[in-house]
Order: sequence, then C-alpha cells, then structure tokens
Amino acid sequence: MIAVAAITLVLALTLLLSGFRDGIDVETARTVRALGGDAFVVREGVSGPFTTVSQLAEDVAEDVLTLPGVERADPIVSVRHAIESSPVTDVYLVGARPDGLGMPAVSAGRPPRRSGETVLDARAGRSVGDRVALGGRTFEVVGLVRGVTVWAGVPAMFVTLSDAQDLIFAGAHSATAIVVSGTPQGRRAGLSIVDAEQARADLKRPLANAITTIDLLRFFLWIVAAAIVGSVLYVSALERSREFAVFKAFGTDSWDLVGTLVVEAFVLSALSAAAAVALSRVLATLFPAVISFPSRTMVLLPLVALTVGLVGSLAGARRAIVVDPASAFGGP
Amino acid sequence: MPELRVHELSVEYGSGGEVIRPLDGFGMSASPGSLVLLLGPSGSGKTTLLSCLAAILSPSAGTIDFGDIPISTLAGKERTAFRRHTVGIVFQAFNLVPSLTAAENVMAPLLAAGVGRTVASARAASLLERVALEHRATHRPGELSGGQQQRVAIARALVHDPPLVLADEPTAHLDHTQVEGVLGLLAGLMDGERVMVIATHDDRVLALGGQRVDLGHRAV
Repeated sequence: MIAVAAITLVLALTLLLSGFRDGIDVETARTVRALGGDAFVVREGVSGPFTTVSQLAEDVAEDVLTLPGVERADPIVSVRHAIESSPVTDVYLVGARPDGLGMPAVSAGRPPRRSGETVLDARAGRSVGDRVALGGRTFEVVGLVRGVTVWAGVPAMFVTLSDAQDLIFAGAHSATAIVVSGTPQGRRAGLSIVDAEQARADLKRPLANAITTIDLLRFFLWIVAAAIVGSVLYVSALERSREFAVFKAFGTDSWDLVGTLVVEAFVLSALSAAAAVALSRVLATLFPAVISFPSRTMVLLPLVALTVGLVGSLAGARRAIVVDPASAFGGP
Repeated sequence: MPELRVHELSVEYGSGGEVIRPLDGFGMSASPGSLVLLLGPSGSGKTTLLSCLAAILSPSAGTIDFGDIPISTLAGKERTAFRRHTVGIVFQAFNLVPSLTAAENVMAPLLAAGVGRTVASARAASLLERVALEHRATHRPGELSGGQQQRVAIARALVHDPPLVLADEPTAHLDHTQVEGVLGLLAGLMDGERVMVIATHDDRVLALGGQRVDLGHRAV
C-alpha cells in the first residue's frame, strides 16, 4: 500500500510537471488563436508582435489590406501591464478595435465597445461589473474570456484600441502590430510578416529560460520517477527474501516466484499509474498556470511505469532465484 | 510408510579460512511412525541436519534415504518435488507470510504444488480446525499470538499430508502457556506412520518421548 502511494505520488508529480510544460505550448497557441488572425505584420527588424513595443502607424493596416491574399487587417497594441487596484494583478494588455481582429470572443458579458470598458480573462479573478484601475485610469469589466493567458497564467486584458493608445502611446494613433486574416502575398517596405507559428514562438520567448529549466527538470523527474518505481519494487523484493526462502523450502519453483513478482509489479505499476493520472488531474486544479495532459504523456507514463516496474521486479527476481531456502531456518 | 536412514553424513564448509564440520560421520535411523528429537546446543548441527533431511542442503559425504527416495542425491526438479510432496517443515520463526491470512498461509504450499484453489481452501479449513484456529482463518499473522502463529505454521506443514515432518525449535519463541498448546498439538500429530524429526534444546519438548539423538558432543 505504501509502495503504491509512493509510486503514485512521484508519477503524479511527473505528470504535473509534464503537464505544466505542455501547458505553456497549449496556452500560447490558444491565446494567439484567440486574436483571430492568421498572421501579423510588424515593423521590420522587430522580433515579433508580442515581445517588442515598436510603433507602427495605425493606418498601416489599411495599406496591408491592399496586399494580395489579405482578407482583413486590424491594428493592435499589446504590452505587459498590471492592474493596480487590489489585488494587484499582472496582465497582458491588448488594445483592439471592437469587433475587429485582436478582440476575442467573450465567454460572458460582451466585448468592450467604448472607452473605459474592458474584457478580462477569468484568471484575473474579476467578475463582470467589477472596476479595475490600470495606468491611472479606471475600467469597467464588461466581459470575460477563458483560456486567454500568456506566460504560464498571466491573464489577458482587452480594451479598445484608442484606450490602449492613450495608455501606451500618449494618444498617438500607433499600433505594435497588425493582425491579418488570410495569407499575405508580397510585402511592404519596412514591414515584416510573421506567421502564426513565428508569433507563438515570439510569445513564448520570455519563458525560454524557464522552459529550458522545466524541460531539464522534467527529464530528471522522469528518471527519478523511473528510479523510484524500480527501487521500490526491488527493495520490496529484497525485504521478502525470507518469504522466498520459505516458499522454496516448500518446493516452490524459482521461476514461479519470478512469475509472481512480475505479475505483482505489473499490477502495482498499473494501479499506481492509474491513481497518478487521477491525482494529477485533481492537483492540476490547484495551479494557476495552464496544465495540459496530452494523450502522448498519458500513454507514455503508464508505459514507463510498467516497463520500469517490470525491470525493477526482475532485479528483485534475481534475489528470489539465488536465495537459499536454508535461510528460512533459524530465528527471526 | 518409509523408514528414514542417515548413514555417515558429513557436512563441511569453509569459513574464515577454516573448515567447519557441523556434521561429521553422523548416522541415525527412524522407523515409520516414530518421533526423533535432535538435542544439543546452538551450533551442534541440528538445523544443518534438518536442512539435509529436507533436501535443501547437499551433504559433503554420506547418504540419506527416506524409503526408496535417496534424499542426499536428489537434484534439481527432484529435490523441488520432494520438498513439495514429501516433507513438511515447521520453522523456529514461524515464517508466515505477513500479507496473507492464516488460511492463505496454510493453502500456499498446495497452491505452489498446483492444487486448485477450491481443494486447497477446503484442506486449509480442515487443518485450521485441527489446530483449533478455524475462527482465525481470515486473520493475518500480525493479528495472531506467537502460539497461534506456530499452530498455523504447523497446519501449513501438514497441509499436503507429508510422510516426513521436520520442526526446527518449534517452541523457541513461545511463552510457557503457548508451549503447552504447541506440544499438545505435536503429540497429536504422531499418530499414523509419519516420521517426525524435531530439533530442540527445550527440555519441555522431551515430554513428547520418542528417540533422542544428542548432537551436543559434535558441536564445533
């Protein structure tokens, strides 16, 4: 029972860390998709639409619209900011035209239509009707979106383009990027086209070091999980040396003991893996970041647990084979 | 029922650069239905002899025969089959499997021998009744007293009705009251033609009677 609990816990933590890492990709893709465009236009030399505040004239959108393959083009202003009213909350501020590209579909309420209105991701912990202060101004929350976050759970905040321009560019009719639907053919001098994949990479770039760290941790945690599963089963087999000796003294064949150990390891690993999947899903609700459980992880983890469990049990099985039944004699 | 014959039995092994001979030219015989008490202090070779009788330890020299079974020359699967069908062992430390119930512990040797679970369960119930523990069949060893555990161990040793029963210090870890119960049980097992060999240095076991073999003068 303790062995199942120990293996379950370490497997659940491994799943969680993997889920956290995969969650970053899921979150990034979801947020870029929520802006509604197929590509972004930015000033030439800028790394992407999300990580550099570089001004474009707002009316560049009309020029981009004339490019072949472009169906729609709308300017956005995006920048990291913070809600100053309690509780202070980091947000990713996006200013977009009402009903234009860059303004996501809301899950509650309605999109901002006029100055002083905002839509927040639910992770900001605000409700429709709340008022929040940002950049010295007050905004009324008129709608909520879900799953539009960046950088492991920082909620997005959407305001009208003009409000964002007031906050960031002192009212200048500028944008940080143009969101485009369609597939732009050709380009304009001084501008770059960033496709959705490049945009996702740009949005994730601030987390590059963290992602590398998480990847390393995840790699090591998988090894630790495998080692714990294997060692728990191995130690369990070692602790039963006397039991093996007794069974051999009764005439139990060594290979029957090995078979029993392998079956036990299989059942133990399978039970632990199943419990770990359930536990990780429960624990995931406690984390503010997006935790994603892709099917490949859900398949891989039980397979690893079973494989390592069987290897661990075989190491213990060696003990069962070599144990001398004479050791069953004597005191405790 | 077979007779047990031990002739010129020697066991030797090296330890710390010295040759140790716990048994050196030992001989004895026991007719069917007899009880043999192996006496002597620790180190006198009692457990070594039991290991040889159980086909667990191969002697360096000499022979052991149980009827027409040459125990000392059995090898591989023959030894396993002998232990599985012909000999029952009662250990000093009980050696019950802690995760199994009393009934499951008694069933274990039968299941290992390929007997079906239904038959094994019925046989275990019968044996537990014989050792007056039928009401503790579903209890695990940790829930039983030392005397009860030893009675379960005796039931386990008899579950396949072996013609040869070996007991290694069966009273060593029991208090006075528990010893009486276990001795009474062992006395009851001496019916029929079964050969029983008990290694002990507990004088209370002498009350069982039988043939006494003192290994003390052979202690190394």
